[in-house]
Amino acid sequence: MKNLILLLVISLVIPSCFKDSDINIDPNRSVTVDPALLFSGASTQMSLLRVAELTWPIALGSQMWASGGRWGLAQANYDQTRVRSAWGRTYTDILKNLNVALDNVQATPSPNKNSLAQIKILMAFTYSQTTFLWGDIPFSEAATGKVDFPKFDLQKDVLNGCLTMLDQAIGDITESGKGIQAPNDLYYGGNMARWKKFANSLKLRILFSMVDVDPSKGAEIGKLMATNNFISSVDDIMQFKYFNQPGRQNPRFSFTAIFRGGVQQDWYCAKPVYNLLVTLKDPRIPYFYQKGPDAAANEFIALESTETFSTKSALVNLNLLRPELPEVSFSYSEQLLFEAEAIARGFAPGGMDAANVKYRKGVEESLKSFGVPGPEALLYANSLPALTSANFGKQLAEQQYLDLFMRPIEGWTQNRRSGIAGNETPSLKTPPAAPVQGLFRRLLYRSEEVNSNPNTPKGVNIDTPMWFDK
Amino acid sequence: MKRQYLIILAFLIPICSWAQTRTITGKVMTSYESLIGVTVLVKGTTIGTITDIDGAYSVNVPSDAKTIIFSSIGFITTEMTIGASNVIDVIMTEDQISLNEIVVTANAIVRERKELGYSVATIKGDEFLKARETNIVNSMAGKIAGVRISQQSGTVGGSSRVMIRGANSIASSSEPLFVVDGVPVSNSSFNNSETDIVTGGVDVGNRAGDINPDDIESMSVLKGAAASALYGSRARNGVIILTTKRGRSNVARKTNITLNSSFRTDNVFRLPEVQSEYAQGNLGVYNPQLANGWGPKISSMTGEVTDYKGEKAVLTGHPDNWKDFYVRGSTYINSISFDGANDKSDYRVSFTNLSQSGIVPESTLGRNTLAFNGGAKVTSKLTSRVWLNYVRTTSDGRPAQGSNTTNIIPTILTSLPATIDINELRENLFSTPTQSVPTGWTGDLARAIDLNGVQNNPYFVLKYNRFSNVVDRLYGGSSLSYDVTSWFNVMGRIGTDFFTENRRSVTRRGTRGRLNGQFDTNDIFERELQTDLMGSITLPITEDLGLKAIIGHQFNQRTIRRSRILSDGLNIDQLYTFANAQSNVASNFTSKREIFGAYGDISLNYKNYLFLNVTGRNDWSSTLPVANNSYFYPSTSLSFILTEAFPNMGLKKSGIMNYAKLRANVANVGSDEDPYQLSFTYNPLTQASDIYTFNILYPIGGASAFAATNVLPPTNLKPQRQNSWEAGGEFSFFDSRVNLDLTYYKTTNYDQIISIAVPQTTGYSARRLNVGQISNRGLEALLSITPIKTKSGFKWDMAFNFNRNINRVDKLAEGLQEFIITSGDGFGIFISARPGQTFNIQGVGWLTDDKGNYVINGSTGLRVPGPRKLLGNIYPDWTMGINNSFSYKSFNCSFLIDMREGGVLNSQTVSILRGSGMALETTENNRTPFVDKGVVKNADGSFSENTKPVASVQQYYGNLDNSTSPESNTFDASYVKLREIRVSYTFPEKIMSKSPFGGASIALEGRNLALLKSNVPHIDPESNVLGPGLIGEGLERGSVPSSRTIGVNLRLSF
Repeated sequence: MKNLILLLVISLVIPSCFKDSDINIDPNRSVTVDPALLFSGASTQMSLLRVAELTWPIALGSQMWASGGRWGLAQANYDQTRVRSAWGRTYTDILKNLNVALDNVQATPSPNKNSLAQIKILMAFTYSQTTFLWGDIPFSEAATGKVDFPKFDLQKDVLNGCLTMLDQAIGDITESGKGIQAPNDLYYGGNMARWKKFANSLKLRILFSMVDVDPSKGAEIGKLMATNNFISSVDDIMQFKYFNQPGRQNPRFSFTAIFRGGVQQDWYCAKPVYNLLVTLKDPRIPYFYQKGPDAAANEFIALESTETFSTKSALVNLNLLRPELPEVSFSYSEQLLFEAEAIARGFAPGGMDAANVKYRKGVEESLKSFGVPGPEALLYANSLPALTSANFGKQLAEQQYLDLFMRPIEGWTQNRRSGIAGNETPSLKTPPAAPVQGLFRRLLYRSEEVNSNPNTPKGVNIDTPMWFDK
Repeated sequence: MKRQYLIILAFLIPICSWAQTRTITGKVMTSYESLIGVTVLVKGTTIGTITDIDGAYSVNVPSDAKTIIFSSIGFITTEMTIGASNVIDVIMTEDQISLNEIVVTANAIVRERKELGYSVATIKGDEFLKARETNIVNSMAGKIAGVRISQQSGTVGGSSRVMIRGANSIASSSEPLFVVDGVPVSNSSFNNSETDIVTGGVDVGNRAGDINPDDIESMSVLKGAAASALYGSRARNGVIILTTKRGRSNVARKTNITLNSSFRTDNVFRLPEVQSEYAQGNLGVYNPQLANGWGPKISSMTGEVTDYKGEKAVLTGHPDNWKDFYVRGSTYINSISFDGANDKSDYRVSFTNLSQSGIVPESTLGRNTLAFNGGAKVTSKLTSRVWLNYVRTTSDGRPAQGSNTTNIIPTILTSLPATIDINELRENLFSTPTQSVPTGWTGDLARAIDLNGVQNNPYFVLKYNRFSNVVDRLYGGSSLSYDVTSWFNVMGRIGTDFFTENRRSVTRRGTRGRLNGQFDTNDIFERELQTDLMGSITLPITEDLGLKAIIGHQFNQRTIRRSRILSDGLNIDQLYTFANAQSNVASNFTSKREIFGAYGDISLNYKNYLFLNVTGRNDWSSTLPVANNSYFYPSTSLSFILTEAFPNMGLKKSGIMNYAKLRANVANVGSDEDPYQLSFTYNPLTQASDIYTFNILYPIGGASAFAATNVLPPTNLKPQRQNSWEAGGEFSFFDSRVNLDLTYYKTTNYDQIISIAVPQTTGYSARRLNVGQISNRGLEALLSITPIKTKSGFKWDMAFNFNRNINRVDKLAEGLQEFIITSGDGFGIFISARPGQTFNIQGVGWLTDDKGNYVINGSTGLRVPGPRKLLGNIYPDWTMGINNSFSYKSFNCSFLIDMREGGVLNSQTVSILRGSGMALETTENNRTPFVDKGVVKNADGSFSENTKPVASVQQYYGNLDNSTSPESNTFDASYVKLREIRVSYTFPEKIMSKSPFGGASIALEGRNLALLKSNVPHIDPESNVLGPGLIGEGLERGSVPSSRTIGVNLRLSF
């Protein structure tokens, strides 16, 4: 009995508040991390969003592909539920982790500048993509956890901020040195020379989006062209590799494989792109599309963006949805066509002849990237009418648009920047039953943001043009 | 068992002074048998005894004693005046309303009901045997005011959610604590993520379903915080206290043997009304590539056409596909128990086997339970007890539900074209080469129900894509009780509950949508350990004032380990080994938490009519910050027996009111946090994902990955708090022919620990902090009436139990307008909390003009989706159960009607049935396009009545789809159901005495029998895909339909 009372007394004393106890230390998670591991996670999430959630609604909404009436993703049915996680994941899974990685590198006694550069470049790429989709976005106060209600920076400021970030990164790079290595650098395997090239190419993409509204950017394009350290071969392409192994396949393949038993029946051939290809007698038609199951051989029947499909309707070629295809963030052909544009517009020296060389090389590389055999690609590129001061704008815009057929984010940006509203290349019309009068020009802010951040801009519709889109 | 309680009760009575004594003897009987274990007490003293097996007693009474009190559970306490005779025989009558019932309360403390200042509902063990439910939770449905049961699905061994007095949190599901014999047991389901449930999950059941109803002696439901304050932290959602059976002594034999055998059969409760008139196609044009009903009338199609298999055939409509698919389920429950007791010890051993097959073909559940409970009186002061329950639950073939996998049977059926004979599918599992075959495919391939090869043959799914699990569980404990003095007892108890569960879900190679096959292996271990040390004092202070005091200490530890391997891409068909998979992604999780608690409980009893109880408990939790991990919470309750305090009151004297009790209580309960929420951490990632769920698995390209937490960790976190008060009364009229039990309560939960959404642009999705307030207030009423009671033995009892609960989110974080609690599916249907509202379904609503008319698109004739809005409260306005019971001698018949008023349900099944043209209503008027009622917006901004017909009925119903707006698929979930019918017959003693049996009874039972009223088309209005793990209800997503059960039960004792 005495023992019992003793036990009672002891056990009442025992709860010394878990003061020195490790019971609440999480055995499942860590309190420290190697920044390279955050970098690989952010890269993978970025690629996944680009290739999946930011592909379908944008390709259909921007009329690059047609929905066949099967998907509520076309502009006619667009609402913000179709791009649901990309907004949040961009900030929480990509930018936040890059910020934390940056802080972790900087907290080391001698911070690795190459690592800092890689992180900043990926960050600038992410911010530029995000502003092309949503317009004004949180940038200067975003993704740090320090500001409760991040303000929305003007698109102009975001893009300029990206340029500054890229300049810092370029300045940080020591090409012979090491930064984040393979396997955690899933883009370039730690090759800093290529990171530098990508940084310059990305600057060019950003500057071209700005130059129509801010002509002062023309000079900057000229300066950048003079340094001439861009993506300059297929080996330099900024791309994220997928593999034909379960769980590592390109999600565009997984979509068809999982939902449709491997039979493509969702993404149809849209008239704006098809008509352009026909006009240009472009050899990419059978590479872009496959015929409908009941169509005759080589019979490609295109649809208006929301028209209901039939068994004869042509579809996006399954060959472009292969499991091992990489997600391309910046291609060689895109670079060449930008260079052609820089020269043709007189931002860089060389005149139309030099522009034509880049133009034809750009078209050739583009054709090859879709599978057109080399000789045929070369032949076609050379057969195109030369750029002249009268036609170069439209001709370049057509090729730049077609080149981005499987990259809807860049394709949509290209289309919007290709001319003043109503005068884009190719020119599009609002589909019947669309909820707005104008074309699809931006994604709407997510309701989570609207509800939780009082700084979210109000009164923007999906057809409200952004700053760059004038 | 009774005796144990009585010994404790014996302490309650104040000791009296010495006096001269005389011996009184006698016999206590019911109207037909002698009564053992009746407490015999000399009024105003502690002198007493207990009747023996023959009902006989002998007691030495002081010479000045005037009255002897006879009391026993279930009988009206009888007082007999001591006269000249030394023999007093008593006939006791059964107490129909059990006013003096013994109730097991917090920490297995036993109290008389009249002492309690709070409302406690009890169900006696017999109830569980009359209509045997496989899941004990379901036995409460419609029977206890303030307790709502909702079943997740009709899956065998499916789960059931219990909610007591409304939702208490917007951050965690408000499940009560389950306690068996004083030791908490797990009711987890490990199925509580949205991905587990909403996207193609399986209803794996809740672990309270392992408890064998046959072994349960009684169930008490503690609804309010005052009742459960001693359980502390974990009791804020109420407590369900189960007490297992113990050995009983028997006059005639040493061992009681009871056999109980039930057979039940199940069929689908409600099948959707589908059409069989129209073939698959588009806008009236036949197309075998599609799985729907939008083609031409089958009767209009002449000659052979290509069918879904790619073969030439003449098509006919098959009206009975659904009916033919679901099968008759059956359940066998057999139990045997042996028990016995003498004055030194008692024991009970039982074995129960349950074997069930579900209404979905090839789904089975098995459960074997071995239970032991034994007690011994070691010395006159020391008693000990040991109890153990071993349960093995196995199941196979539980079907997937929700959306987004290829394996969801109800979804496949929903779009099964009328031209396909499901009986043909049963015999032809595999595809023929004429059906769409993916390029380069070799090997077996599931037959599809469309030529496009999207939807699998449901029988292929049933046969090959199976979910199975095995649970091995042990729970029990042991206790020692020592009487230090006549007024001081010390009790120590240690108990544990642990189980392992192994789950495996396989998808065969050749399944359309998962061509390469995959399997998911999931091993779960959970353990709970609790020790209690409790000292009780029972002291008389004066003759009129009694004191009971308890001081106790408790230690509780909970451990969870889970490991999961997702294996993808099988090299060899149907070989489910890790080495045969092209990819294995493993993840694991462990967690451990501890609570130390110290508590005290003081009860004062004034003249047996005024009872005051004060409790206090302090907890130290491992999960809170060290500075704030100690928290104290008090409760106090008062019970006042009006009729005993004022025996001469007019109402009582006139015979109108024979009993009246008033009660009230106030309590505050604190609770802790989940483990490991306090630090900024980095999580190893297994996958990257987006909304289309095509996850990328790590490592990719050789790279693994981590991510920083998305939840900003809290600073200065405090315990969560709940304040509650309750007032009520119990009244009996006309000699207990009319009884009323009323309770009003109000519960306020504040300082909730919630991960509150922050703008995602901060880089984080949430910040964890103490915030928000949610309250419940409501009325519970139990009215029982005996309209007819004749001398011949016929009796009609009616019981109404009514509950109205008003749940309200009082506050969210500053500036936060809405909190999304649960996301319904990929199309943005949410369960949301907004300040000033209860939980609602939120989604895109139809655009309306200011008069509420639908705005119609003038060019298409279709309704236009508008902004997001609240589509309705998910909880009922009120619920009521009405039970009618008729008994005549040994014959009893009862039926229970269960009603719900208010609240809404969003049905994906209805959405798909209509959208695919399979619902019967889509064929109305031969699918002639019609004008939808509404208004069209004119150029000048005014509205005029719509005159534009829809282009086709197909477009009309296509537009009503959940993905456009959930509004048209959200229905009033009110219903009236015939929940239960029971007919039982107990063979009378006269017959039994000539047989080898001690007793026998036979019962017919039916459950979930008829839907008397519903506003939801096609499905059971009680469907709820969210189950016990997720917060919220009111969403149905391809749910396995519920079943109707009819059975027969035979009970024999020897």
